[in-house]
Amino acid sequence: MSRKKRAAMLIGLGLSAVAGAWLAAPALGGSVEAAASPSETMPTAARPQPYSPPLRAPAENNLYWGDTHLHTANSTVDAFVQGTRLVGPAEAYRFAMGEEITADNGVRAKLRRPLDFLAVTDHSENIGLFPRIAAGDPMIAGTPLAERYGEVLDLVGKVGLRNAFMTVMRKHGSLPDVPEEFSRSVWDEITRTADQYNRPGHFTALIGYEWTSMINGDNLHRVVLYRDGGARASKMLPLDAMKDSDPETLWAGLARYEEGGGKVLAIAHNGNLSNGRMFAPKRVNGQPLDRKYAEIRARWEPVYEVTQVKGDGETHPSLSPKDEFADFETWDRANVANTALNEPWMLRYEYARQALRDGLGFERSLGVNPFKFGMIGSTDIHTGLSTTAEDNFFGKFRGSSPEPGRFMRKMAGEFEEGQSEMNWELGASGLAAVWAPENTREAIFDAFRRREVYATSGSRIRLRFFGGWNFERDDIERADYARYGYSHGVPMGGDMPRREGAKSPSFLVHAARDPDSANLDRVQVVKGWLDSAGKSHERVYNVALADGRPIGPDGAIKPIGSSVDVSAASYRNSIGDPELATWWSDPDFDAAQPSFYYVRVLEIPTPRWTTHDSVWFRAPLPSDVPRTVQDRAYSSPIWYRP
Amino acid sequence: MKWLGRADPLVLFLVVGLTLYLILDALGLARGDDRLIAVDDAALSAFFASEGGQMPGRTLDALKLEERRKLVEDYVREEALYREARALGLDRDDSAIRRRLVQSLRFSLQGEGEGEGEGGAAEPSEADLRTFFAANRDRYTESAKLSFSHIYFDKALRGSGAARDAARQALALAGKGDWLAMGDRYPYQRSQVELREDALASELGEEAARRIFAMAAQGERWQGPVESELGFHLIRIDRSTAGSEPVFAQIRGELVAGLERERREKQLQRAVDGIVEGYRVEMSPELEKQLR
Repeated sequence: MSRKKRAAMLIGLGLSAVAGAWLAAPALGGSVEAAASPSETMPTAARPQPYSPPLRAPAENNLYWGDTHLHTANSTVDAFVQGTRLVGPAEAYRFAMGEEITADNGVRAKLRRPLDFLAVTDHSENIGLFPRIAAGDPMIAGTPLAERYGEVLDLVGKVGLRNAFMTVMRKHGSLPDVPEEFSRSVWDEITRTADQYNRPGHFTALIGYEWTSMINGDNLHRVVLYRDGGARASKMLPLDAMKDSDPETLWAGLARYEEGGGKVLAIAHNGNLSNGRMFAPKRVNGQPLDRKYAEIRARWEPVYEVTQVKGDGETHPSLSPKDEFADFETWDRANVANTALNEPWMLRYEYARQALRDGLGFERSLGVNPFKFGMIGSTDIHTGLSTTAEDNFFGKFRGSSPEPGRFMRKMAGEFEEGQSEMNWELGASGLAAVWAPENTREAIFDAFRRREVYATSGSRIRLRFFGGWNFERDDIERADYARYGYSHGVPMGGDMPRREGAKSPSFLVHAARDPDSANLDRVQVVKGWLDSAGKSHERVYNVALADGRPIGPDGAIKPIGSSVDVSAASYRNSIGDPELATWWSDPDFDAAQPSFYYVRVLEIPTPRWTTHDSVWFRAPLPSDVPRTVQDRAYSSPIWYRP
Repeated sequence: MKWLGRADPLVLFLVVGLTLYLILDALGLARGDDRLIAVDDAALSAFFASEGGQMPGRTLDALKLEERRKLVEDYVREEALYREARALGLDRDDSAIRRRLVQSLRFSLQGEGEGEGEGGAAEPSEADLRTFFAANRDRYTESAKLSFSHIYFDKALRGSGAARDAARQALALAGKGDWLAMGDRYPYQRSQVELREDALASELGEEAARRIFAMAAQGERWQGPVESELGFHLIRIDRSTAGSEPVFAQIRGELVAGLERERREKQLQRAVDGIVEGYRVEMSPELEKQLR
């Protein structure tokens, strides 16, 4: 009988080889091994203070550049089905460290400068499932789980991302659950890979994931970042927003994790795609915000991701009508799942500047500011390639990777039905800049916690910002102004409590251009404050202008102009200044009014990534695509609290 | 059943294969009617899954009779239009469909050969690794890195001559005083750790970066001044790490990963080349002239 069986098997094998051909994706370093217990790696406790003063406080801190929000093939429902298959976490780290790798569309890619840190943050929902199915992981091969998701994967190619995505999200109940043993094996592999690439002092691989909450398709996503190494982070599985999409449940889960001695935080993003939910005055359960909510939110979410590929979230032109630079890479058409259009009333609860203003009001009424966040940028790119330079932008999905005509396709693939954004609307954005004493998981995490971080829309604009009561005009000229700033004031992200008898807070601001990129146009301070009637206000002050431009009596400033040659996708640093530094004191200070101050730095115009594409691929640009972009930086605020 | 045990395996294989073929052929004859749309559970459930967005949270079994009828009707309409579109050749000149097909094929080619021969999951041999190491040495070479501090004298602020003079005067004091408070505000980092020369060059220019990288560590001693595009710099070298040649044993893991990656890429390339080589290419005479 054994021969008959073997013959039948042969035929069966032949048939299944045809049927299974589509499944035979390359293993993403995803050979399935028994989960070895991760070795003890990084100490998690704060270091004891050394005796020698120079070792205690680094005089000036260092600036580190990174991306806290990057997806790879392990993001099951979007990156993988959209064609990110070869680039897994290991490839993403190698690319961030400066190595040349091949993107999933076959194009070779390399960064001009390596990043200092990276968090690979794949969607926790069914994390790693498709790569493991494709690799034939024996843990699930042949089970209903692999079969059903295999079907889904097959359908995606036929009905497009949105249908398939919604099908997966909505049909989750009817699809088999991922066994915990499997999730554990994937999470162990992810944390182990991060440990493997984490090189204290050289490159930091932060462990993280994305908690993908969408209520009726409205974006409430959070990126979760760990201070810890794999030994601790692997002890608890990532939280799953499909089980409960209320951020309060996420925070409760993070608290449970910290009970085990670890440290973790969450970073929200894309309020612009939340249809009025991100900074709403009520909780998901419909109750108004209360003090407890404010405390918990501020506890877990010290920073907000204000800019990324899917639009800039600093402010919206209708919220800041007097701000001539407010309309920057604006995405305000619909929610993230494209299931409902945005309406005007929603904008108020979607943008960072308005939320910072509302936070002052909540602090007065509740006693705690729920929206007391610093600001960072990151990419949210789904190809594993963290690219933010206008001339080296590898798109959001495989379908927006560099190739002719990419910018005229719809974002989620050509089989997408209905309305959706076009690829040209993506921004080559953003980066997280961190002021820290050293490049380690602990130091970088701690900087996020104290909000000594800032955002850029992709270029490496260097920015320092100190607030204090006694800064003098000359202090910014000191060679050691930064050391002076730390010892006589607070850096970005800090608080200035009321000081009796003080006249007005003063600030030291120092911006320098990206050494590999464009000069600066101007430095601005954005102030928000709360009046005695409880109404919030905002004002943008121009505090340093390049090319010696004066401020006219009516506040008018001559535009910086443009040195861009669109036909060649080039520009010259013949306008603007490489460095802008100034001392500034608030001329409208009222000691009774709570307020915040943050800095915005604008570069001179440079060719937008679409312009680079049109020249490289010799493809004409449609008239509605902007030719140039003014990349920018947003500091975390400094708050004044009376 | 005894005869089965005695039968030649090849004969058995052929008999079973023939039977299967005849069955499939019979079914195939039925399917051969291109005006017939056969609706069965399998077709319906695949279609239903693709319509999931319109019927959230439902399963096929849970559909009411009315909904089931509608589903069958929708499926038939879609299938008929799909076939008609193909019959009209609409799939042939659509660039989106072309791209999708090419992508699907590339994807399936990537999987081919996994777990067998080269490009497979087998651990590369020592000799293979050595060869790969020899051919890719450059990729694993660590470039030289410098850790240093500098005091900066701004040409734009002071004028070139005055900046040089100030730097020279400060040289004598730098080792004694509080160096952080000396000189002028520098736009970037004043203490650098393990910086590469190209990164320094984008700040200071290539000439200055080259000169600073040529300096040797001399303990606490300050050196210079070095002139850059921005001004003059007094330099204290804290640590100089020469570029290092890779050591095979230390980077074995990286080499294995690198070799496996290379094999996968080559194998895909071979598969694509193999397909392309199976075609003859005939260019129009005008084009041939242009390309000559």
